[in-house]
Amino acid sequence: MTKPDMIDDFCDTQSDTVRMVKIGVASAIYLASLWLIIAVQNDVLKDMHQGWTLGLMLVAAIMVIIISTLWLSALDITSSSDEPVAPRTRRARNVLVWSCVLGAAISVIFYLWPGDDWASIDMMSNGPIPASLAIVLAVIYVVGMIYSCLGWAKNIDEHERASINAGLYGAFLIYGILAPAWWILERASLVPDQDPMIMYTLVLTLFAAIWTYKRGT
Amino acid sequence: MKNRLKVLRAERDWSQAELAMQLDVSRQAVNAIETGKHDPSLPLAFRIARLFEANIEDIFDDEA
Repeated sequence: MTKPDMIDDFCDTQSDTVRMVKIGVASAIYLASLWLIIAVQNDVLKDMHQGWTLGLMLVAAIMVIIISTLWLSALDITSSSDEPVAPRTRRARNVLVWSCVLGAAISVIFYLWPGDDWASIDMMSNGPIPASLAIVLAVIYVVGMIYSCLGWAKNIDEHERASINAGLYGAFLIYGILAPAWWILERASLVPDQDPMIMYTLVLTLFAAIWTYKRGT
Repeated sequence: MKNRLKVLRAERDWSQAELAMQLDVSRQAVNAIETGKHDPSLPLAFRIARLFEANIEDIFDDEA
């Protein structure tokens, strides 16, 4: 007997245009929300009593997690939990989960690192941090990301690789256009100083949007 | 490139996920091939042909 989800499972449940618009709008809202949360938090932190700063940073961190989850849900990257998954696909997904765990671990270490001045070690700012914390986080990030990237590259299938390549190309184009334009405008004091983390977030968001669109549902 | 993957899969009563499992690719890859959004590499095309016990030209049509 034919299974209910058998023939047309996941085929064109929504048109390419609708998906593209949905992913584009969700990514724009995600970036705007991220910017708003960080801007408000950094502004409020300047005048806030030290006892309240940890609470504010926790609220901001929770809001970032919520909007990131909403954005990922709009990208349709999850699959039904009861469908069979090929071993290499499972390994590739495990690497992605590991990357999220790595990001969470870095955040936890950042906030739990011993120190007196909470406001100055806020993760979502460019404020100075202790050298010991910087070294520990940089080592964890570099080693963890090398492991993740190699593990991911080894286990993705050819369709996933083609989708990733499209995302990388789009992200590189945007970087190649934005970075020099920003640098030129910055030299004329027309825009604020170039912020590497803003550029990183923009490029990574665009990469994820193109990658998930090309990957399909 | 047009192909008969969906028909062949339906004849065997396989879901996309089940076919993906046998080809060791993601379900999204099977969906992309079926809908003509991704042309499989030669190694994957051969794996598909062997699985369905057919020639590559019987499954994929580059002139359609």
